[in-house]
Amino acid sequence: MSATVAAPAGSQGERSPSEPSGSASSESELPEIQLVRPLPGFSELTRYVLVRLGGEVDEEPIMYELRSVEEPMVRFLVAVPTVFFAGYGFELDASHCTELGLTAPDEALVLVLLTIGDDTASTTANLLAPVVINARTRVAAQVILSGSDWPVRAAVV
Amino acid sequence: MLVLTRRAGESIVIGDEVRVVVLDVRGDTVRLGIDAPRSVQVHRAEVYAEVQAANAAAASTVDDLGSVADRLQRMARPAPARRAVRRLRGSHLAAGSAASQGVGSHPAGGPAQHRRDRPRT
Repeated sequence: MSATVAAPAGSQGERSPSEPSGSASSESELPEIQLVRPLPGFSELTRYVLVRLGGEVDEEPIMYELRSVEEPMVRFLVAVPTVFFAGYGFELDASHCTELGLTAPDEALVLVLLTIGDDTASTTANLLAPVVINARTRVAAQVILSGSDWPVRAAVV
Repeated sequence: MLVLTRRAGESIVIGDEVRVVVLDVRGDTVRLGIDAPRSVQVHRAEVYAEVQAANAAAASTVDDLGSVADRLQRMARPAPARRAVRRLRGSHLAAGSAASQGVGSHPAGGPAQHRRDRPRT
């Protein structure tokens, strides 16, 4: 198993999630995401890194580890939602656009948190509250799509 | 907890920037209006609790997320990614090309269900 860092060209790093988090030099090469407010339930944590995991579809990464910089034990498996849920989509409220500095839909990288089940087949994705990232500035927020019917636990398989 | 009694049309101010007004009361249903700065998130309590619980459940204790990701990909056979943000709301912002994305309706049903469309070619 290998994990490839989602890093800008020129900075290398192959690291596995089980490596100690104190490896400062490679840690500093991971591009950091700044949450404008913490994930509900994980207050005070606003700095995260995205570590690319194995697979790709059409040469695009589809799954990442979202790991807290401040608390490395806090880690999430996240995925590009539309590869598993082809009909998934939403409109972003003006307030979220402003806080994330988004001026066009394709500036946003959308990832959803996965809950790994007792067996892989029972893994679910939180479609109600995706993490929306400004791909340019790396400012992000978990946006609760209030008023939508997207499920908080959607079966991935 | 601070307990206040209000009638329809009356308001509550929280801090300097949040105002809650009772719009109307019909039977056992109260309609509330909330004025808050854009930086303050307002949600139904049960929705917020659900997201908190889902986040807590999602926090992984698995050492090898890469293997889980690989297995998931093999089982789920993912399709190419599409843009999840269809449109940005707000008159001063550029609209997405809604026509090319198609207008997907939200799925019906509760948390146990989701709708998976066949990928368009």
